[in-house]
Order: sequence, then C-alpha cells, then structure tokens
Amino acid sequence: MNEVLERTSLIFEVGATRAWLYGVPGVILLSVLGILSVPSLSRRRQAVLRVLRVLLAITLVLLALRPALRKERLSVSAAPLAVLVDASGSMGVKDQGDGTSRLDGLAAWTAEHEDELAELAEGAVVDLFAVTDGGLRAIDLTELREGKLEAAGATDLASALDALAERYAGGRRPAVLLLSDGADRGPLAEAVAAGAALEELGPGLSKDGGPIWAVAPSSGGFADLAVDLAAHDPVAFLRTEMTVRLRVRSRGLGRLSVPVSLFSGDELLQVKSVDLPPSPAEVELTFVLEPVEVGEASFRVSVPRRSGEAVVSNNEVRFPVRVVRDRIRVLQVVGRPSWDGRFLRELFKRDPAVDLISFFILRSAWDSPEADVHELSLIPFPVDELFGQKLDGFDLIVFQNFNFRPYRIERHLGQVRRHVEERGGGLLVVGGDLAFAADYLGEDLQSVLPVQLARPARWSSDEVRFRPTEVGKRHPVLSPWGGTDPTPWLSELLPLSGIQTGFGLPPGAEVLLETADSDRSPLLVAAERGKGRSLALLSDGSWRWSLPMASGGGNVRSYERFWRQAIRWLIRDERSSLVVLETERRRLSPGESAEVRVHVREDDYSPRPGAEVALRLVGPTGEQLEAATATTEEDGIARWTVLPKNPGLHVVWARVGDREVGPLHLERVDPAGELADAAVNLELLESLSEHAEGEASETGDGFPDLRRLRQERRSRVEAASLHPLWSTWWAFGLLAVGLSFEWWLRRRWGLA
Amino acid sequence: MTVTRRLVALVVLSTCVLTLSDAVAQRSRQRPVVELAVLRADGEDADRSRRSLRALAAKVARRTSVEMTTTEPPVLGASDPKLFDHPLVFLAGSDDFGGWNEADSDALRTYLTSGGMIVLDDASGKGDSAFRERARAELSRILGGREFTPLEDDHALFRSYYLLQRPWGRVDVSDVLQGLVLDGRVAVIDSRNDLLGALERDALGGWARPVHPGGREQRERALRLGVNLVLYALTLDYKEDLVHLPLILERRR
Repeated sequence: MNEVLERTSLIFEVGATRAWLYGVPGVILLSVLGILSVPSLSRRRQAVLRVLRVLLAITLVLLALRPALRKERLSVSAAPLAVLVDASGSMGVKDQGDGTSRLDGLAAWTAEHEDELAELAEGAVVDLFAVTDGGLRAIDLTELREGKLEAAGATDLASALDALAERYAGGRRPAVLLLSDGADRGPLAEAVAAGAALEELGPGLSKDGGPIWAVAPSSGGFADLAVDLAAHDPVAFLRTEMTVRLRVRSRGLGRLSVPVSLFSGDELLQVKSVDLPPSPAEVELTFVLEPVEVGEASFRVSVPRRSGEAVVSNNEVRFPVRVVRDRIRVLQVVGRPSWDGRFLRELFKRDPAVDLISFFILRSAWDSPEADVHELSLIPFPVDELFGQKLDGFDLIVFQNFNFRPYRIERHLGQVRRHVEERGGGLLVVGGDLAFAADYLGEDLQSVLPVQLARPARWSSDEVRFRPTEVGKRHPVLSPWGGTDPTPWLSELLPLSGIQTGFGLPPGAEVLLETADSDRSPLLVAAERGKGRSLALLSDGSWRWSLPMASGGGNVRSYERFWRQAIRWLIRDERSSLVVLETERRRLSPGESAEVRVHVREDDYSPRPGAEVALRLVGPTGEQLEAATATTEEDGIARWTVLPKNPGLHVVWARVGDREVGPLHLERVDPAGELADAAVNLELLESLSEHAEGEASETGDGFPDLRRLRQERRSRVEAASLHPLWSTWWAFGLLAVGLSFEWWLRRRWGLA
Repeated sequence: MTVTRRLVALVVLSTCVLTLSDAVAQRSRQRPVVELAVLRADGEDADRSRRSLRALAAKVARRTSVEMTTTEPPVLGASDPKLFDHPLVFLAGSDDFGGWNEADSDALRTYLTSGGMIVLDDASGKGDSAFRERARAELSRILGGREFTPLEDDHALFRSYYLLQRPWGRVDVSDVLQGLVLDGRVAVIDSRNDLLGALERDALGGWARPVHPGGREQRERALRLGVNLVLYALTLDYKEDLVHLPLILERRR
C-alpha cells in the first residue's frame, strides 16, 4: 500500500554550488563597497546607512541567484517482500508431531500469523513462491494453508535465491521471508560447511540484495538414522584397493551401535560396526574394496531401520563404480629358456600397458654350473610368495613349457584354479616337451584347463601345419569382429615346430586351430572357466611367427597380432573391445543429462566411421525407457544424450551388429539424496540470514520482527513544479523600495 | 667265470649301453632345442668358429637347463633365409672382410630389427683388427648410424647366469663390452678379447689355443661369458626384473 505526500523546498536555479560560489563573495563585495562609500555624518546616521546597504546587497545578490520554490508530490512505499516456501522433499518429513509434516507445520504457522502477514501486505508488495529444485513457482497463500503444496525435489536455496534475483532484475530487490527447514544439499550447504564467502555463490546472495528472515519448522521431533557417501571414486582399478568413505548420522536417537553392511548387487561383501554417541552424532567409516572384475559394478551400503525414524529411504545408499584395468599384470613362468619364451617376453615388455614378472628356470637339478653359488645370479624360485601370496595381483598367468613337479607348485594349483574361476584371472599354457606333464592331470588345474589329459601329453618335434576351425574363424582370439575370416592372415604364417598330442576336450572347450593333417589334432584351444578364461597353445613354436617370418618380407606383426588378441581375450581387456561404451558423468542431478559415447573400431583398432549403433536406456525397475540409433562419426564415435527423469540407477546398452556392450550405469540422484540428512538445519539458516542482515528463528519463536522492513520505505516523485521567486513583482518592488528609501534618507540628510 | 661268459656279458652290456644312449639321443632330438650359428664373413675361417660354438653349446647344455644342439652349427650368409631361424649368431674374424652388399645389408637390418642378435668377436688377439673396424662400421651403417656404447658392468648380460664384472676371452686386451642397443635390447655385441678363441676345441677334444695371460681361470671366465651371452639372448633383461621384484610386488599392493 502506498502513501501520497506533498513536499515544498527552496532552491536556487543557478544551482546550490554556484549560489555559494557567487553569493557569499557578492554580498561581501557589495557590502564593503556600500560601507566605504558612506560620507561623513553622525555616527548614528552612518550606521543606519551601512545597515541599509548591507541589506540591499543581500537582496540584490539573492535575486541574482534566481531563487525558486519546488513543489513535489511523493508516493511512499515499504520495501517489496518475497515469501519463499520451501517445498522440497525434506519438507514432507513428518516430524512436527501427530504425523504432521514440516509443510503442514508451516501452514499452521501462517494461519496463526495471518494478521502479521496481512499487515505486511498493506505496506508492501508481497509475492509468494514455492521453492524446489532451485526454482521458483508463484503460489497463493491458500495453497499453503490448505496443504495443497506437494513436498518433492531437492533443496537448493542458493539457486532459488538466484532465480529470485533474476525475477526482480532491474527493479528493487525484495526482502525475503524464507520458510524452510534448511536441509540444503546444494552449494549453499557446501559453502556454509566450508566457511566460504556466501556472496560468491551467485547474484541471489550478493551484497546489494534485500534482507532475509528465515523461519524453520520445529526441530524437536526428528529421529533418524542415515548413511551417506562422503567420498568415493567413480572409477576404480582392477585388483587395486579402492576406498569408500561413508558418514553414518543419527538424529533424535540415543547411543547406538550400528552394523553397516556393504553389498555388491545382493552379495554381502563386508559388515562394519560403528558406535554412535547420543544424537546428534555423525561418524565416518571407510570400506576398502579390491574389485576383481573389469566393468560396471553397483554397490549398496545400508544400516538397519530404527523404530520411529522419520526417514527410512536414507538408511541405504547406492553408488556405481566403473572398474578399469590400469595395467595388465602378467606372471610368465618359463620351464626352460627357449626362443619361444624369449620372444613372448619381448612382446610383453614392448607393451607399455603390461607389468611383467618373468621367471625362467635356468638350471634344473641335473645341470652342473661348475661354480659356487655366490658366482651365480640364480635365486630360488619364490614359489610360496608368488603362488601363495601374490597370485591374485596378476591378471594373466602364463605357464610356458613348464613342469610343476620340481618346484612343489602342485600344492598351490588350487589357488590357480580359484584365481581363474573365482577372480576372473586368465590362464595361458604354452606347450613344449615339459608342459602338460603328470602334474597337469591333477583335479585343480584340470578343471580350468581347456584340454583334457588322460595321461601326460606326447611330444613331437615335427613341423606342424594348421588351419582354423569353424569356431576359430569366429572366435575373438583369431577374429576380433567375429565375422572376418582369419584364414587369409593365418595362412601366411609359417608352420610351427613341435606339438603335443593326446588330449581330449572337456566341456566348454573350443578348438580354434587344428593340425592340417588327417589327425586334426587340437593346436589352440580356448575355454571360459568360471569368471576367467583359459587358453592352451599345444606347441612352443609360435616364435616362428616372429623373426623367421621376417625372412623374405613376411609380416612379422602377425606374431604380435596373434598374441595381443589372445591376451586381450584372456583378460577380458575392455580396451581390446571393438565396441566401447563410456560417459564422463555417472551421477546426475535432477534435470542433468549425460552424453553417452560409443567407440566402434575396425579389426585393427582404427576408428570405424559410419557404423550404426542401437542404444537403449533401461530404468531402475528394468523397463526400457528410451531407444535410439546413432551413427559413428569420422572419429569412430557415436554420441547419444540421455536424460534420466526418475531417480535411481539407469543402465545404457549399445548394440553394433550382433555385438551388444554394456551395462553403463548412470545414477540419477534420488530423493534419498535430499533426505540423506533431513534434519532441520537452523545453523544454515542462521548463516544465511546473518549474511543477508536478517534473522533466523523457528516457528515456535513467533513471527519475526520485520519492523526494519517497514522502516525501509522508499519514496517516488510522482509530480513536481517550480515557482521562481526572483522574477516576481514583489521582489522587484522590495528592491525598489529599499533603494528609494536610501535615496530619500540621503536627500534628507543633505547629501546630493 | 670263463672267458666266453665274460665276452657274452661284455657284449650284452655294450648292447644295453648303446641302446640306452640311442634312446637318450633320440629323446634329445625330440626336445625343442636352441641352435647357435655362424654368420659368414668372407675370407674368415668359419670352421674355427663352428668348433668354438659347438664347445660353447655343449657347455651351455651341461651347465644350464637350456637344450642345445651340440652338432656342428651352421654357417650362414647374411642373405640366407635360414639366418632368421637363428636369433643368435656369431661373427668372428681378423681381417677386413669387405663389408656387405646392399641385399645383405637389408637382410641384416631386417634380422636385427626383428629380434636377431649378432656377437661380433675380434679373433686377432689385438682387439683393434681391420675386421672389427669394418664390422662395427658396417653394422652401425646398417642400423642408421646408431653408435656402439659400452655395456656397464651391471648390465643384464653380466648376470644372465654367472655373475661377471667384465668381458673375457683368449686374450685380455679390453675390459669393456660394447653394444648396439635397439628398443632396450642389445642387438650387436662387440667382443675384443677373442672369446671364441678361448672356447675352441681341437680334434681330440682338448683346448685348441692357449689363453693369455690368465690361463685356465681366464678360460673358465670366457666360458662363463659365452654361457651368459646365450642366456641373455634367450632371456633378455629378465634378471633386471628380479632386481626390482620386491619393488614391483610392493607396488601391486
């Protein structure tokens, strides 16, 4: 409501500065001249004339400064006020007694203080907004009073204040009456926690903004036990420890001892117990994991529900982790130095992505070095250390022409089996006369080998010609794309020298190469074994695809190509995939999208432009939400932007031809994030109000003192008029009378 | 026991021994083996090198787990395709052999860059023969001007089997081995002390040449260097892995 006032003021048309600049010296000059020019008369008459001349000088100068009267009509108003009602998810928490929510409590509070609000509306423009997800929505007071506001979305007060500043841009910034629980999860909470300057958060909290009075619902009845992520890396390295830091909070509960459980999918991985002092309490704990599988993993941490908890959705938290391989860790054990062992070692060493430990058995029990031990560089084979303790640190174990018996490794073969079957390790056995000896017959190793031994294998040093089987032509070891017949490049390879025979094929084994004679003996056999894979090359002559191939201009890269494909298949190396699915952002806020990129490569790993990619987005409950097709560009990458609308863990799959890759996990931050710590945060509201020169209180404290708001009235000139005083008849008459009176006196006192 | 019975017993025993040795030899032929070879240098006595390498192969087979071919090693020309079946070859001589033509040079370049290794052995006993000078210049040219560099005494070659501090041979004119290194691998080794001369056997199985000045002990060290050369060719810098093993394992944690 506005008030109209009239105001009149005296001004000088020449301006105040000029009035002083010219007026004072003018009066002094004219007065001095007038006084000095008074003739010799009696003292009384001289005084009369001097006073008269000073008055005339003042009058003359004043008129010269062009005095005028300015009359104004003013419209006076109080400051505008924006009432922001927090309608985020946390305002639906029913902790206000008798099952009423915080929004219900604030509705009751507004009804209770209807008169004060009405009084505010009389002296100012009052706008009402619901605030959620950092945005504003104009509402009516009755919407709040009648409980029609729905509590949903996240609390982001800083963004909401920015939106308010934008809405009032160009006009007077309003004062704010903020009705909120302060359970902020946005930048304001982070800034307050860090003690950072709030004005840097955005225009909504700049220093030229209006004051903020905050009113919070009562905080007395809130009871909650919650677990929340403090820090975790969305990307972890295979078989490398990753740390997940969590916070367990209790509010409104007594002293507690709480079990905290970590799950991978539905599998319980670890349980830790935390002791919480009486509320409010917060304890950090750390889980240390060692991912054993490359790819996408989804973890879940939970604490048990307590009776009387206001929020139960924050009793568990989920987080996706992408497990990648930083290096390929290879253990190569060579039973006897040979060219085959040397060239495979050299191939491993040339690959910067490989961490290699080689062991060559340089001396057997029958060899005589003819030297003292201290003259030899030989060290004992650290069997227990490597096979008993460190085996899990390797991605790939290579037994190359190796017999276990002299080294008592058979007691660790169970560990090798578990490494393959349970931890997803790769096992490569390369032939030679020492390999596939009696110890290979044991149950532990036999269960992960791709070949079946009835007795120790037979060795022949004959030249071996070979060909791919039908399975081999499609298998990733020989044909990464599955559809490209590897026969042409395989036919260029030299025959091998030496082969082991006498094998059967266990279930699940696939012969990829066989001898080209009528026996069709297996030469290269592959098998999936539990989570891992195993491959057997029943010859020690593959080195002939290296240096000997160079003779006559053969392709020496064939050796490298064969083994790289084999190794990548063995360890399920995602970098070896010809279709790779990736994104940069995996945790998405509401309204935030993610760009999914699909890399498609040719057999030789060069980018494959123009490939059709079918993509689909699957929601948290398993239903397909969206599907699209995209085409790879010149860089071999197809791009797809997805916007998960509902909270929860989403999954993206991509298909190129008959090859499907995925899952790629995207987590849309859910209301559990809003409710992760849903306690009324009066401290945050106090910090906010203090910054904005207002005050914070709870509903029980009554209506805030907004007198300052009423005092911050602002006037606006609606009309103004100017009335000159120097150009009036009476001003001229006054000057004329004064001069005439002096002239009359001078005549009377005998002066000419 | 009568003489007849003794003769019968001797024949039976001899037959058994021969049969057994045949079986052992047959089995040995069935194993994957490593064969050394001589790289021919025009005008040089390749037979001398063959005898030396045969002796070296026998020592390697006896002292290490490596299965070696102990027959006379082949002598191969630079353009011989069979050169590529032998990742380790020895080139020995005393006189200027005139170098290699373009085809030979191309073949040697391919051989060395594809994983082959050449041991250059100065047989002159002086360590600075025309042979050595020519061979070094030619091999350096073939590898694009790459220069020989000294191999430090902690190089993997000096501890690939025996722990050695320096090179040895029939003479002792140099305590340094030099090498041409390709991708971290020594592709050419330059030995000045006539290593093969210290290993050469005569027709009766005795040492063909005296060793100066260290005599028997020096010959033993030369033998050990020969063994190390073969083991280095077969295992490369594997011993450097072991040095760093604790560190590598610790890093895995």
